[in-house]
Amino acid sequence: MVRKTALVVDDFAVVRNTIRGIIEPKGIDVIEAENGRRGLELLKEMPKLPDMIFVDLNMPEMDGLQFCEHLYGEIKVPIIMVTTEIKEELKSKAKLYGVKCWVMKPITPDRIMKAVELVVRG
Amino acid sequence: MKHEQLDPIAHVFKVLAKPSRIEVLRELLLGPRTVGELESLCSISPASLAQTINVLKQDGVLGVKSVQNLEFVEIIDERVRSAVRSFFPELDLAQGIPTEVLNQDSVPQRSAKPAPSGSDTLMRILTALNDSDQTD
Repeated sequence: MVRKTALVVDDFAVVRNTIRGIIEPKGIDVIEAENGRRGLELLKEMPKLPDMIFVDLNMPEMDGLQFCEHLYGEIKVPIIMVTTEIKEELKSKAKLYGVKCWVMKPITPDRIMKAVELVVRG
Repeated sequence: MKHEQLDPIAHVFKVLAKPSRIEVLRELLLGPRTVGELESLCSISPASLAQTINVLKQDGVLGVKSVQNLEFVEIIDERVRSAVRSFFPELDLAQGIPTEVLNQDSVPQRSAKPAPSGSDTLMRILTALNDSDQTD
C-alpha cells in the first residue's frame, strides 16, 4: 500500500498518540493538532492535503463540527469523527459537513482501522 | 547561439541523467508527496532515495518542507517538470481526477462552484478567522 498521511485533531495528547500508535505501523504518517484552529493552520502549511482527517468533536477554541464546517465544500478530504457523543442530531449535522465516519470512544485498533478502510476504499 | 544560453537545457539533461532521479521526479509530477509516500512508491532503497532527494534539492530541482515530523517534497524547477512530463504524457490525464468523492448523496450542495485549491482556500479561511478575532 502506498504510504498515506493523516491529520489527527484532538485536544488530548494521549488520544492523538493512541491513534498514531494504531495507524502509523499500518503505513499512515501522522500530523497532530490540538484543536480545530491549529488543524486549519496545519492544513495550510502542508504542501499536500492529508489522505484523511481524524477529528474530536469536543475541543476548546474550535470544536470538531466547527472545524468540519470551515472545510466543507472547500477541500475534499475524508473526515473521521472520533467522539463519545451518540446524539443523532450531531451525527446528522456532521454528515451535512462532510464527515464520512463516526468512531465511538474508547478508541480501539479495530474501530480506527475499520474507519481507515472505509475512507481508503472510498 | 552562445553556449551560456544553452546551459539551462544542459542542466535539465544533467538532472535526468540517472533512472533513480527520473523515477522520483515522475512520482512528483502529480504534486507534492511525503518522503514516506515516495519510499512506498519508488523501487530504490530509502538510503538511495534520501541521497537522490538531497542531490535534486541542492540542484534547485526539488523543494523540501518539514511540517512537524514529516518532510514534503515537490518539484520547484518548472523546466525539469516539463521535461519529465513530456516522457510520461499518461500522467497528465490523472491530474483531473478529484481526490475523493464523499458519500454525501442525500446532502444538498451549497454551491455549484468548483472547489478551489486547498492552500488558497485555507488562506482565505484563516484570514477570515484572524479578522473575526480582531473584531471580537
